[in-house]
Amino acid sequence: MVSVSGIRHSGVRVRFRSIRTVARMPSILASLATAVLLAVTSACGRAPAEAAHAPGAGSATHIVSLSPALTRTVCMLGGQGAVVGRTPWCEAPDAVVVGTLEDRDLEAIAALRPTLILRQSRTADPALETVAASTGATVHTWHFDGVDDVRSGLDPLAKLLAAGGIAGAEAAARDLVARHQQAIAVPVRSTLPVLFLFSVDPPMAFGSGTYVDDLWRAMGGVNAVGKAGYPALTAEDVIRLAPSAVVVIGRGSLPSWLGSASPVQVQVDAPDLLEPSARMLVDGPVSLHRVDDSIAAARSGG
Amino acid sequence: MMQRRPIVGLALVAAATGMAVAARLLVVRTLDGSLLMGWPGPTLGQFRVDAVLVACSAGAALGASGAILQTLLRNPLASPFVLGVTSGAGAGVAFASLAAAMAGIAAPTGAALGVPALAGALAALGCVLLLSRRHGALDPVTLILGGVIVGAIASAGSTVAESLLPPERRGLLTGWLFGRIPDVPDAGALAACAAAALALTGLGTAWGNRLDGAALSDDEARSIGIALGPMRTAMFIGCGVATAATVALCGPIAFVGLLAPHCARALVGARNRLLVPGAALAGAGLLTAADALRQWIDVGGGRLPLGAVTAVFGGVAFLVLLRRTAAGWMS
Repeated sequence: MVSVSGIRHSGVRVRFRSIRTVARMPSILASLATAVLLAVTSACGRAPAEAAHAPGAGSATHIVSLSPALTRTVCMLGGQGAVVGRTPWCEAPDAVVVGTLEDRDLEAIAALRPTLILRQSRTADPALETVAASTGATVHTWHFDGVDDVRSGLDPLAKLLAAGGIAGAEAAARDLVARHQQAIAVPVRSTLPVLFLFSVDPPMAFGSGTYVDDLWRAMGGVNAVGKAGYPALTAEDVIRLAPSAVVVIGRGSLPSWLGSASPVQVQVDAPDLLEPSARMLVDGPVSLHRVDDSIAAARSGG
Repeated sequence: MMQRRPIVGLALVAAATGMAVAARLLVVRTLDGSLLMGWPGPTLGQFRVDAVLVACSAGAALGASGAILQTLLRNPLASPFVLGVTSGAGAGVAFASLAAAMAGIAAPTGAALGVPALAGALAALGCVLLLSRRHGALDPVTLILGGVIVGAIASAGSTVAESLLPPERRGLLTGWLFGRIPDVPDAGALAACAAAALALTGLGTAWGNRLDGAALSDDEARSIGIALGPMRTAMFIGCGVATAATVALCGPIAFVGLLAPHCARALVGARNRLLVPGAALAGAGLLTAADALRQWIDVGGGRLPLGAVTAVFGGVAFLVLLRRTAAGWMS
């Protein structure tokens, strides 16, 4: 596989040189193009070369996860040592990057010899299924949108991990659900409509049926956005909603016009509220209680 | 009557643009789906006025650029996108976002967004002009090829940078790359775009007769005393700067620079003295209308991205126009 990677490198370089000779491109453009091509090809060639050093090479379960939320959930169930392939955004640094859900590297995945391939989607991936069949792996697909999606996915995922020899996965799943139940049992004080934004430019909201909406409503709160999903809004929309408070999840400066929408603006850096994973189940309510405290403090002038 | 027709056409373009502006200012759909008509008062009204100012400035810059480029390149499919300027600006913003993520600081927004956009746009333009210079003059064919190549490289760079961004930072960049009318435009970026649009439209109008000559072959233009080289260089740079200012303000906007000149040409004819201001007006109207449509149409995900609206409606309208005018677009 390493030699395949090397040939791919050489092929690109040779082709590029011939183009450059014919067109006589200036050196500045040639340097830029070479840098981009080398960056891309080196990224492409890395997966097979590193496969031999992948974590979990000696364990029974080898997991390739094409979803950051699933990767995090697997890790929280005790399977971090079994993750051998991941997306660039998964927090499993020892695993090899095998692409994304839409643009996965089938050869790199096959080279990792996974036993489980995890993905988040509403549709099947026949090519991936074929690769999985050839390596003896099984593909499991979930779609996490709301809290119930994540909760209902925990048990089957834990069973898969336990069947693969990851002891304690099922107990960890039960513990996560119990901690989640405990966290959402404490009601929030803010019962007036609150707007949750995960972007301010343009404003993009957590609408009904999303996990933040589920958590907030489960704790007795009211979401100002009744529209389903993650609607893109305008400043005018936000002001017309007239929420009692605007909560911006993420970092960055807040636009001044938010003051016209609500006198109470809260910004919270809570990565657990930006990903529908098991971490959201447990830490999400804690972050939302922090938000609730901030809203109460702002209202009381503190 | 024959001499008055282009003026009447220009008035029609202006009237259509005025209608688009009025529609954007006075009609909006609320999140519950109902249409509201009328002036909403000073606070909400200011957002609409700002949106109209942005759309008119950016649309005019794109429209004038498109008209001039189509004439200079003698190609009805030429547009600011062909120069790769838009993709260059996108790459500038993408790499600035990536650098911010790597440094652990907030991604650039507002005025700060304009700096990498302008840098990327001007870098792309510089590469294209460098590529297409032959014996001291710009070669129109190499210019198009260079624009396509530089645009492709810049787009690839944007994709690489975007894919390396952590997920929580991708939304901002993705939204910007769709094209947008900012709720509260950066005053400096808006002023720069408006000035660029006015300057380019003025220059194109003043040099209208010379642009008409440039539509002929190089030899024919030379035989009637028009030196194409310096004018082409000045106009290409002017179009590049105007497009860069547009991208810094709104992100990449598709089809307006391509469609607006065709709309104007159908009404005011092919003489550049009226075509360039007509295309600027048409561009302003098209982008304002696209922003108004975006406020009215609900397909379930909130407000549609502006770039998607211009691409879908502009693409269909362009196909219709192309079918009608393909035989004699410059006649």
